[in-house]
Amino acid sequence: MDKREAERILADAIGKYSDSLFRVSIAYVRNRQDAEDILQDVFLKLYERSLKKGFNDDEHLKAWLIKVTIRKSINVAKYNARHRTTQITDIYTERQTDDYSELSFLIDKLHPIDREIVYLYYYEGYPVKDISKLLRKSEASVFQALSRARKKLKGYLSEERR
Amino acid sequence: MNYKKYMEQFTVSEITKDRIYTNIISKKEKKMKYARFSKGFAFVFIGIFLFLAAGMGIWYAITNSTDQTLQKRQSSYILAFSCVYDKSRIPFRVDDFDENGEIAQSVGSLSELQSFSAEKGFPFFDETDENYSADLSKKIREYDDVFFKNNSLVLLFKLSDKYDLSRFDDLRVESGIMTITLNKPEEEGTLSDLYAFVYLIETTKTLSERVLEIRTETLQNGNRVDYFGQLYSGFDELYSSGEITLDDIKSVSYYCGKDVDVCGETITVEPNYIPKEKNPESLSEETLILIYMSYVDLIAEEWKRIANPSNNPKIDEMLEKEIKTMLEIITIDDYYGTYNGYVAINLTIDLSKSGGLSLAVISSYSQSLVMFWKGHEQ
Repeated sequence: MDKREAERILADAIGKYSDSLFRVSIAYVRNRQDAEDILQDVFLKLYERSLKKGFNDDEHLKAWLIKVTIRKSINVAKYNARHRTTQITDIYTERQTDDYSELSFLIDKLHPIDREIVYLYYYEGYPVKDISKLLRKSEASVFQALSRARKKLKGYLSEERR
Repeated sequence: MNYKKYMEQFTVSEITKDRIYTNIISKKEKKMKYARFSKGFAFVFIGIFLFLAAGMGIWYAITNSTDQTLQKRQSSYILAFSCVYDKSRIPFRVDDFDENGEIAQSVGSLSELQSFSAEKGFPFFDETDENYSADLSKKIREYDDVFFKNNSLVLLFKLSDKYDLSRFDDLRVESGIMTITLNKPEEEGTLSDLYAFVYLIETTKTLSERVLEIRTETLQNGNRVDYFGQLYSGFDELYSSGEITLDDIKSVSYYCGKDVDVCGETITVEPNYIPKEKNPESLSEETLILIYMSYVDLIAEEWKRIANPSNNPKIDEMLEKEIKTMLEIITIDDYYGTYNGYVAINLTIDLSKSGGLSLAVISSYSQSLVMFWKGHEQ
């Protein structure tokens, strides 16, 4: 693929998928700066790959981007956990104070992997089958994670309201 | 309450998108320029390298003599075995050690090795001795005539009154003197008792034939070293970093006879699951000791951090007491196999005997059912 075509794919992908990938990333790293750095790395990887070979279709491209984002986010989250540099509070400053702030706070309390599955299922609308491929988990594990997350959220909600 | 609405607050501004695009394109441009430049440079570099290599070859052939300094080369020696024993478990007599508490010997044949053992009263070849079947003795008996055909064995035994003495760092031969370098941390150990350190170093025959005398030197190293190995609590860290696989975890779960939690997920083993074979089948005494020492080391570090040593003049005395207690109350109950070099174990602490031990310190390391340990890699 020539350079101009790769630049076009990059520009399109940044316009179309930045927000989604940013949300995927922030579920792990919990701060805007790291999530933006991850985005840059992911798109650089996309550009490099586009110069060599293309993608079957938009869905293939999106799934590839999410997969790479998850992998990079896990690495950064692990690094942050070891070096304790993450500003965990960053994400909370973005929280708005309207009627969904309560749920957002409770979702933040979930385990990062559960949070990721909740995001892909409820926000991105991916079916369980696709999530299991993206995260390299069995469908049963994804179902379990979803049900666990729902139970936990229910538990948190009832605690909060007590 | 709307989850979609909640997630929508996380967006990337147009400015950031533009910045990402510009950064990537300019980064790539720079890389391509560099690639063009480095291609040209590579030819020049290869030329210079070949010229230097030929020159060095000639120089080596001219100057190679028996007295020259042998730099650290992977092929000239390897550390084949190292272990530390506490007083109650030293598997040999320590009466004949010199005033430095050290015995260093190079042997070039099986008969030399046998006479050395007999002379020092070591039990390695003495079937009547209770330590004949100790792991160290077994290891030493593995060296046979085939090994000694092209190799020699350097044995270094060192006694110390501190548990965190030194670790092997380097070996070199200069003017007929073999110098074994050990590295010592700046931080002194705090547990005072008798400890024996054993190092078995395999060398090439050509290297050891030049040796007239063996010396040891100890360097002070600023960095703290995990002498005994590293412990990991639970599966999460090793699994998420790809060090162990899901299949490894299932095998551990199988040997535990329980479901295990990994990254917030419960792993259940299917009834017909066939686990990986345990390799080794059981843990050697040396490994068990290293695991115990790693644990004590870890707890001591944590304890010191919490106890705020700068404000506490009696810190060493207190820590010594804590560590002695710790050694008495921890037990490795089960071994669940070794996966990618990580030894899976169940380590329990008898809290009823903990006495004055700070429970807050040990609690974070004792909650998990399974711990992993990996030995220090030389």
